[in-house]
Amino acid sequence: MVEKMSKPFYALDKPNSKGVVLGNEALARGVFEAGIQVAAGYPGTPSSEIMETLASIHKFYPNFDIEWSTNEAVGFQVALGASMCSARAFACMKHVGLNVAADAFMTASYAGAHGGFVLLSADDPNCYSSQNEQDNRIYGMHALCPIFEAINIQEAKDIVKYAFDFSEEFESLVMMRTTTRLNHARGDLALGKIKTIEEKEYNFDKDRARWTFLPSNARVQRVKQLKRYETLRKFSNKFPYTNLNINDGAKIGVISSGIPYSYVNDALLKLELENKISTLKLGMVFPQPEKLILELFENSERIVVVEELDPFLEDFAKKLAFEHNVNIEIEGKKFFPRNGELNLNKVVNGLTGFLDIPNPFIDLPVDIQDLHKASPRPPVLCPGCSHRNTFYALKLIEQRKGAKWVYSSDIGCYTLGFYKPLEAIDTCICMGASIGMANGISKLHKGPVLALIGDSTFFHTGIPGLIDAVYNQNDIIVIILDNSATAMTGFQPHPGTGMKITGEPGTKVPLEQIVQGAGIQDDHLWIIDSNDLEESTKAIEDAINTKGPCVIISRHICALLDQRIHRDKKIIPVEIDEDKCNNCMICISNFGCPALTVKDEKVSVIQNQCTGCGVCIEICPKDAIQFKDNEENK
Amino acid sequence: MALDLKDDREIRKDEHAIEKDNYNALCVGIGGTGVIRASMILGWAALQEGFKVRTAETHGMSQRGGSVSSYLRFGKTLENPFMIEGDLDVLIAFEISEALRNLYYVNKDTLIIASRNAVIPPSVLTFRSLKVDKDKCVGCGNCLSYCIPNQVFLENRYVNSFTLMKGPTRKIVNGYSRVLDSCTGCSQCIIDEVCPFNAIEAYNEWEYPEISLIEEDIKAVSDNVLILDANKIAIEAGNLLAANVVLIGTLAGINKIPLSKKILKETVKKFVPKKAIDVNMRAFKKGFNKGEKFRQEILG
Repeated sequence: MVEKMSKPFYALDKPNSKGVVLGNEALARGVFEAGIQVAAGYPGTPSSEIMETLASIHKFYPNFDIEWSTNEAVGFQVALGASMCSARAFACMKHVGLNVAADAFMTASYAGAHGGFVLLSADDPNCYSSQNEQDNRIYGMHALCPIFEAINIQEAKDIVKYAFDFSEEFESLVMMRTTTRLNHARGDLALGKIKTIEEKEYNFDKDRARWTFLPSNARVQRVKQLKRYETLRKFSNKFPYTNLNINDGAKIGVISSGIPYSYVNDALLKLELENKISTLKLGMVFPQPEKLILELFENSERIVVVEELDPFLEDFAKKLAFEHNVNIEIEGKKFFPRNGELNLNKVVNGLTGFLDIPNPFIDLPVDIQDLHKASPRPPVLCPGCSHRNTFYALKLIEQRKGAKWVYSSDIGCYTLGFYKPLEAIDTCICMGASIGMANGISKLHKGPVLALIGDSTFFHTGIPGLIDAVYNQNDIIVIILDNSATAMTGFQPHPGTGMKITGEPGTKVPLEQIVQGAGIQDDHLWIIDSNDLEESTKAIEDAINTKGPCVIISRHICALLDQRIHRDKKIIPVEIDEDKCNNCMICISNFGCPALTVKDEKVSVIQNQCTGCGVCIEICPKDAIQFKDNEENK
Repeated sequence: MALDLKDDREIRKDEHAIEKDNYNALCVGIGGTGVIRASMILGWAALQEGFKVRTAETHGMSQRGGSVSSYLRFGKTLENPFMIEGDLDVLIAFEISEALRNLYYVNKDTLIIASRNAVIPPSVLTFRSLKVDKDKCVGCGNCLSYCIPNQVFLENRYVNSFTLMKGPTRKIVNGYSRVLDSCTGCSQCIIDEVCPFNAIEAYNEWEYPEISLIEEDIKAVSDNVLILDANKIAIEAGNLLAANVVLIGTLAGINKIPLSKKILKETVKKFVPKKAIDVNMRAFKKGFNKGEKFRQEILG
């Protein structure tokens, strides 16, 4: 970062040197410092940069193995396998990714870790880039897996590194739980020492009864897990990143952890209460430190728990007070919302509410009521996006047919097709659900049912749905929008691209062969170029007229990725022939490419936005859009 | 990035009468304009000055064109990257309407540096439509058959059926004409005065305010506002992409927060490609001069 082409700061072998890094870079650095041997995961905001940073460190230290797995379940299993071989293993995913990996997680947690095993779950309060804001601390509790949280960038690095030692010492899986505000924040970081990986053979440890969950073995492992949990419960009071600060004469105690604790710190400073309130900061949020919490109870008259999302710590504190007959007022969600992300304003507001003192910051210092409002900028498909063209072709044929189509869809850039003007997305629940839901809808809905799914999502969890469609003869059309990348999370490669996370070549898994292997016959399969409207409309029309499950692979590289790869490629943008343009606005109101705008009441092209895909040329009824034809381009 | 900071820090202390524990800055703009890069430069500079540094970003889902905010706090006692609303020391806007959107963070003393750069969101255009004034419309139906887009659709294989589904753009409901969703908002019917009663009006669901009005609003909330055309200055310096460095130079010139010129300049150098250093140094200098002039004129 500091010097181009040289080692990025987070890969330097210079303990104690300081820099400003992204939370995800710090987490990756911590994993690397711990002497990681196998890292696996699937891209998902806000976690993606952790694996990417590890991959960029891998360029300089190729002595560990790293992969993008096909989905989070596989990623988790890969890491688990490495842990079985007594190696240090890391599985990385966003919060909803753990839903996919949960099957393995719940049982693996019985067996525990052999080599240090850290699972990173990146939660997303406020759904910045997710379909829900589930609180994965509850998952950790469900699996009796210890959960660590960090309050800042430095702690993130330190704790995740420590988590590997902890995992080996207690033979336990560890969940490192982060939130978007840690993953995507930057802060100062002092580097630590890089642990060298011990030179020995890491063969599979043949502890067969431990790893084979036949009922008879599972019962034994369950008892072992509960015993381990009792040890962890006691250790939680001594967790090095948990800190109880009792202020003399303080009547109020605050319990918090992670990013919410950083708000508490700053809110108390702002309110000048930092010496009048006791705080308990948890680095290990499960199992909770019972002794420390009871000590805080003893030294306080009232307790407030500041946490994001669910009342996880609050419920525990209340239960603990009840069990120990402590008569103390404990509040939490009454003053802090259960939905969305906290911030300094919300925490100041909640604390002043709890303390029943006026909030000095309740009014803005300036009056902005009567000022103009900035127009919103909802997310749109990028200029030159190939998905737009597929959507446009679909809408075109839908109108020609006159029937109401159902667009069952999935997670990816193409979900943005929900918005005007295309409005070509009807459902989006979770990864891979498009095809499954289409199967169900097709049993009832009168009219064509389409499943729109991205290439990476299809590999992730789309394949079983397609096999279900073939097997049960569900009359659906699956459209695989293949833009050759996991584009939304930052153009990560996937099995269909044949490139590994490290940039080295892997073996390409062609989509069409998977589709054929699932039982789709050649007369039910179309492979088209998304940017070719003629080919697209013809394929869609043919598929609509074909009975039984059909697949259209609509393929064109992501316009942004194309520009990234081919930096030297000369882009010939389009321009408007003002003599021909009658300002009908179809290109803007129906097609909606952001490179087209209105300037002085006339359609015009934003030259540096246009990718030169030329699809708008096709849709202009007046042939008023054309490639820029100047001397430079000849 | 080891630098000899001693002299520089001594100078800084003289120039800043009020030393605060923590400083709050906010860089706003739209994706792809260097907002986050600029905030990273400020963050690294703050680290060089010996501060704790915290930054956070909020941005939409789209790769390009969405609003981007990068919160930056540095100082001695802070822990989290978000400031309280109204508690900002510096607001740097790379796009003018983004300054307007974030005014709830400023107070009368906040330094606002904004680039006179307007990027109209595509949604403002896509959500443009027509409406019929019920009081004026008599329901004559003159406008029903007149529609330029509908006429041209029939000539083009990739648009005709698109609107056939959407159908006509107007219909008579309860005695007056109503504009339907299929209207593209082209306004040709207004230009051609199809309605004898002038009952058809164009409107945008969302409005991008006039730049002059935005400037007025920004100047109304703070006493320290500098609005400049950073894009133009960057092009003069040699590259549009250096616009963010122009604004960093301006910040250095105004010298309101304790990030010194020397360190900011050095940090910029480390963050731009080697071949672009000259352009960026020119951009920095141009911005610095603007800022210094502003400081002398307004801040005294």
